[in-house]
Amino acid sequence: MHLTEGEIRSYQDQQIDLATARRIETHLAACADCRSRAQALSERAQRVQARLNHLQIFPPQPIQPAAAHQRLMARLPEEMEEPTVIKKFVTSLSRPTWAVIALVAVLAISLAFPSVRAIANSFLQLFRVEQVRVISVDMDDLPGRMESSAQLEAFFSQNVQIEEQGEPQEVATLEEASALAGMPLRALAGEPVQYLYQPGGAATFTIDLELLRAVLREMGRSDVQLPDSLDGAVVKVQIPGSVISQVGDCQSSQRAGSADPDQRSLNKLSDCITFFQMPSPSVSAPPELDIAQLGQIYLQVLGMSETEAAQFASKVDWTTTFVIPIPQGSADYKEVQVDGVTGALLQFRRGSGPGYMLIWVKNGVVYVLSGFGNKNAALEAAAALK
Amino acid sequence: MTMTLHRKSDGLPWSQPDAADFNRLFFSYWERVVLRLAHILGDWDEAEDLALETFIRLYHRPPKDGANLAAWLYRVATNLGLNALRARKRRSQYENLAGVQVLEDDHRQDPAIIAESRLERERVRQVLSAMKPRSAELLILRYSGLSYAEVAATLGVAPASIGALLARAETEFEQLYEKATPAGGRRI
Repeated sequence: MHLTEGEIRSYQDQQIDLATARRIETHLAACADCRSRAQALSERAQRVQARLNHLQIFPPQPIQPAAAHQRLMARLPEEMEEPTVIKKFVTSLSRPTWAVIALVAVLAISLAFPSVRAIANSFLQLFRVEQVRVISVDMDDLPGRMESSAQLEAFFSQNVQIEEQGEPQEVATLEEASALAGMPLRALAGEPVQYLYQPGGAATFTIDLELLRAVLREMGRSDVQLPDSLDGAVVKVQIPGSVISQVGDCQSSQRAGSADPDQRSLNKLSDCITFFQMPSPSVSAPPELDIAQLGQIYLQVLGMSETEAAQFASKVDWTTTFVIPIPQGSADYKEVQVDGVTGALLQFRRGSGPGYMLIWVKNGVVYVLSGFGNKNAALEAAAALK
Repeated sequence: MTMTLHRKSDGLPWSQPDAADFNRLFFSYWERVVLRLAHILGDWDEAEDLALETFIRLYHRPPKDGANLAAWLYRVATNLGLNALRARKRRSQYENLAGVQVLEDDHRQDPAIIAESRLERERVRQVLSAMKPRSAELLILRYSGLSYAEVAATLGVAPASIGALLARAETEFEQLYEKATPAGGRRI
């Protein structure tokens, strides 16, 4: 009996179980009729894909989730309760951006940190984040693809083990937060300050090359070559506990959405400042992996061309640098001197005005300071840290 | 990946603390929902309006099963987009084209290429609006990257039937596309 169109299509899309795939493969090998039908189906699917691809468009302007959220809130009844300050902080970050950063960080960490310069006699090489760099990437529909990737989900469920060490908790004083985090903390100027301690965790990735290749295929990046030597490599990421401190009027910055829209522009900028501190995450990986190549793959996955990626990858010390991808158009960034080191300053628009995020690493601690205002506001806030 | 959220049992959706969930959901999916609608419609403002409509529906009538909200959002957005496309088909083609071209022109490109790809896009949209609604929906969901399982959950059909439905939708697409091609001498 011949294969049905449905069977052939599911096989071509790799959306069937292994046993069925084997059966179909065996049949195709033996049946010239089905092979030619499969060929025709595959060509037609490619034509349909190519035609639907014409619908891809460039956004004429960056999407403004905050502005859209305000429009939405204006149309919804007032029954929406105000979330807590910390929840608001999390919400106020552009979630797609952070979802992408988190996913890409996982790829980055599993791909980008291992080094060829590893010491031959140590089985595992340990790296720490010592600096950050920011690249602007045109992600187009990458987030959508990642989010909906069944293969990526399979990767996370089968090949990633995550240990969390507890729930986030609000704490009353800097000393208490410092004791929980196990490190001295910098303090925000002003009061009252609210503190949230987020316990650390660890993630262990076992690289399954077939699955990773399937993920890339599903993301439409089958051109990215993964070296065979990656297969089976175990990469462990240790994320230490972190502390988020917040000062200022962090309520009204979000409230603007439900207020009279004409009043919004007249409001002065919120003085809400959020400060994140965490000891550098560390990554351990087998020493024999090729660093420059993996860094390049990471950049290609983010949408860079092969040449661009190779050029950029060669200029980065991947053992100590965490490369943060920022979707094009969502923020401006520049390098600034902060706290005696070089940091990255991101500037973007929030619901009620310009916002900043300043990231730097000093003495083994990652600092992220964010608030409203321009570059000067960012640097002043950093200078006021105690 | 799915995001679950909880609905209060007393009838009012999204009461505290679920407002935070709703906002989180909004910020997680806003961009993708707008982009999907913009692909379907080729009109940025219309895409944003319909994306807002999608979230308003989510607010008022969230799905009973909150396990796969992404699929629910995509389905509602895709439906709204295709409906708007069909409504547009009933309006003047010229009016429609004039509204669309500003958005889609990439000014770095050669005008001849822009004109050609604009025609091509219009052709694809005509085909989608002329297809059986369910087939068009299936095609858009699958080609925007949903797995068979997700498409099946979204459309409420058995995952095993997606391959066959997809093959049928592709046949329909291609037949209508060929009719819509100038060389074929007929427009839909």
